[in-house]
Amino acid sequence: MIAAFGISFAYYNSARYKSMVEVNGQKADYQYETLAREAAKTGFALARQDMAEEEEASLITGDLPDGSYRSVLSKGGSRYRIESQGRMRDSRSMPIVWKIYAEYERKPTATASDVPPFLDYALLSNGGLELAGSPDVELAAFADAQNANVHTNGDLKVTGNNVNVSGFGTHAKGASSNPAGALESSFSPQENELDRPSVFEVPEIEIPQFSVDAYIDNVVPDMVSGPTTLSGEYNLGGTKEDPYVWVINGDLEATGGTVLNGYVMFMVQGNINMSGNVSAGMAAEGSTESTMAFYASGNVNFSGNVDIYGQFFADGDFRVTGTPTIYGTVTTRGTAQLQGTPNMNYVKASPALAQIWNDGDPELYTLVSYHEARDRMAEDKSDLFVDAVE
Amino acid sequence: MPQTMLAVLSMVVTTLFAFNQHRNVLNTRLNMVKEDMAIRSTGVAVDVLEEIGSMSFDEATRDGAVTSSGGLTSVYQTTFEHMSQYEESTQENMESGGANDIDDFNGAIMERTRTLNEKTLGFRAEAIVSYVDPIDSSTEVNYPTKLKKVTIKVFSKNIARPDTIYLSQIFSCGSRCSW
Repeated sequence: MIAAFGISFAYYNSARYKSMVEVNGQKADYQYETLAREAAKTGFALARQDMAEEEEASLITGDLPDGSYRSVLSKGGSRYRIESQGRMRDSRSMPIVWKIYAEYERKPTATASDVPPFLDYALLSNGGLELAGSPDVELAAFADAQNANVHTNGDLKVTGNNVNVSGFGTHAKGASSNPAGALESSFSPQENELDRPSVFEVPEIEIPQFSVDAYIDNVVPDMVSGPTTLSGEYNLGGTKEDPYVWVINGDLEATGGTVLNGYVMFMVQGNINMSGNVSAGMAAEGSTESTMAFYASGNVNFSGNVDIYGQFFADGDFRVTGTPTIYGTVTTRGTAQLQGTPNMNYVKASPALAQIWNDGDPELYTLVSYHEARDRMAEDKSDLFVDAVE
Repeated sequence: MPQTMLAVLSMVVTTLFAFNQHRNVLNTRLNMVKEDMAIRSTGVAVDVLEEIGSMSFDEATRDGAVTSSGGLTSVYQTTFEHMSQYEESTQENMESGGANDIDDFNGAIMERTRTLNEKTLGFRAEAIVSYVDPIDSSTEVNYPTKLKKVTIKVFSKNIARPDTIYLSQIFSCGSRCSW
């Protein structure tokens, strides 16, 4: 009886022990599986980084304290494929393989087709806008814009009866003229399908602060200089796809006899002063948009006989005296004063020269498919996908 | 007399056997609870890793790309042994939605709960974030790189001497690090 009792005791204990080992094994397998998955995800992250760095194919392997990973990046057309495997051995020394498959689509290189709203006006000022003397703000004969609009986030003031703007006058705070009635007669939009008044109030247009430091990371400068005085002819080159970028840490001065050619962006940490016989961006004639940009952290001043094509941005004030002729757009975060007999001919701003304000989407890849699962395949089983890359 | 001795011996053996069996059953059940908690802790660790991985790689990459490693925020180096000092502030910070990128979880101590048979089980999760060498991702470095390693430590608060689960995963910056 005692022997029978001992046998049953041993059997019972053995069964219980076996059951406990199985439970422990299942728990361990679950945790090994989790570790295999984490290893696969680490490999996946590394392959994804390779993809972001424009690698077309790579094989990454690595060992972690608890397992290993192996990931493969391959490319076909605009599609990238990542396969990542994390490997562990389970409680029976059988391999546990966790696989992740993902496909990404490379987005087309972002090229802005529009300029920011604050570059969409013939003349835009954040402070007050005063039109006095006999300024003409018109459409350039060769451009395809419909109106040469003028806007101010402050007060719009017209003095005299000789102001002529071929577009709407909009303001955020108020408008006045001397003599009374000169306000409406000064603005004559060429296109007015909605039959709006020529001068009306609109919300403020946000104009970002400009400094070279704030935007230098968005460009690759072709030239960096200190305070610069231009004189003579400059054929700077540059194209719409790859504009020439000249960064000036100081004022930019241009005096008599200066000629600037090319598809160029000037980024000036200071003022821009142009006087005398200056001509720039003449290649824009016949083009529907500017080919030269002048962005200053200070003021932009024109005087004398300047004949210039370009889009201008002044973080300070914009002042025109004398008889300059400007083809393009003017944006100022300060005040704008047009005095004398300046001519402004509106030419649309170039989106290619406004890329510094184009935040774009930094994510260059779109995830189009993703799948992950445990694979119980034996470790020595050949993996055709991996072997093909190797 | 011998019969009496035999009877007493049988009773002693039976009693010992019963006690032993009872102790074994108890141990088995305790072990099963512990294993169950370990599995649940692993689940919590995976969830926390997913939660952290869903955040932006860095504060600086939330709204755009970064063109140099200097644009990324630095991560102070810590260990699980030196984290208790952050407990109150990090929990409050997490609950108020103060975390928005991966390294906000560096030194974070989080409380997580799971429900089982209408009972609430508590888990404590701790996280350490560090940059790793892009060439050798097993080496932690103290300067910004395109890779961050997150290590999670999780254990149950409901049982004595619980299993502690550690999980690590590497996250990459992707195309938001454009250098």
